[in-house]
Amino acid sequence: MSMSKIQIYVENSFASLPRTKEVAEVKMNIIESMEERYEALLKEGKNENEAFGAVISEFGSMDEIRQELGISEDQNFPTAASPAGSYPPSIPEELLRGYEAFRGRFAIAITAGVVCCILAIVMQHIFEAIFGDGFLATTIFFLLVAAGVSLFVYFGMQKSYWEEQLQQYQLSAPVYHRYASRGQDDTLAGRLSGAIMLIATAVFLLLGFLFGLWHPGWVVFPVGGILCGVVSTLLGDRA
Amino acid sequence: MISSDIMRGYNDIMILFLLLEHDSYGYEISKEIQTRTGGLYSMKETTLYSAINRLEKGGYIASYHGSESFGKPRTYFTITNAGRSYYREKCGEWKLTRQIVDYFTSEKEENKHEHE
Repeated sequence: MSMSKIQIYVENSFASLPRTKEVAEVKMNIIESMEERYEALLKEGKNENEAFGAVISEFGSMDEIRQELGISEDQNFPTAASPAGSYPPSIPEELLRGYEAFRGRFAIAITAGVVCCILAIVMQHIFEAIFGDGFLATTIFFLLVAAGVSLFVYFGMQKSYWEEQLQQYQLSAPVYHRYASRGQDDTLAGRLSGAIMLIATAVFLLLGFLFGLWHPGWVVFPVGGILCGVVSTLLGDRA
Repeated sequence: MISSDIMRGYNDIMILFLLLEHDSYGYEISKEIQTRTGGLYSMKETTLYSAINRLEKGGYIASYHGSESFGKPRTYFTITNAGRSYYREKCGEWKLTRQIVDYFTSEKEENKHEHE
């Protein structure tokens, strides 16, 4: 269903008002009545532009509606009168879509990072078996660990960048509710996961270098990965 | 043109007056006001619906959904008992107001004459 010119005009005029039931009702009634006046003018033989102009000139002023519904102009935060909250500049669609896409990439990258760390151990053992204990096995091990850690660090930084971007916009209510419930927990889950994987890496390197326990030491990565999963699930991250 | 400041308090009366005759809907109310005042006064949409919102909140009118025989669905308004007594009250208030304003707006000469 496409919006008529009148509907667009009224919607735009009401855009800055909180979307309460009361406001919606007044808005709907005004649209209804203006549409009807418009139809009547067309029947009288006015052309579309004349009719639209006449209808718009009878619209009145939004100040009147604001006063009547007790909405002050600079009200930016939810109040008792408008529990749904009023409407600061909302997040641009592209930014939201970008963030959604990033969340997908983030999950993949973190998984890939964990896989890299596990592969490091596996490959080291395979190389040892094939070429004997030596330079190649150690090299492949460190390369893969480095790749995994870089993934954690790089995507961790990206994540904070996105979150900063989003916070620059005061989240508007409908979006806010969609993201806040997940969003806050997400950051917590993200931070905890980052910390877990960092600690795991530190523990692994310490065990390896100080005690030569590379072999059973590697379990910290799968264990860390599982812990991250547990944390995310507990905090309700569905990504 | 009549100043909307002065009319503000009396928009309610006009709407209630029309609803005393029969239930009506927004466009009809504003059309009636315009024709009955001979085009001297027309109520803006925002004025009309601010008043309607206020009256409905006060319990003076009620709304329901209905449709004309072959028209589109509309929101109709009907006056309540509270609305009827509110209307009478406002009429009394207006008579008093008019007396006072009349006195101060009638020609000086006439007033002097009366007091002599």
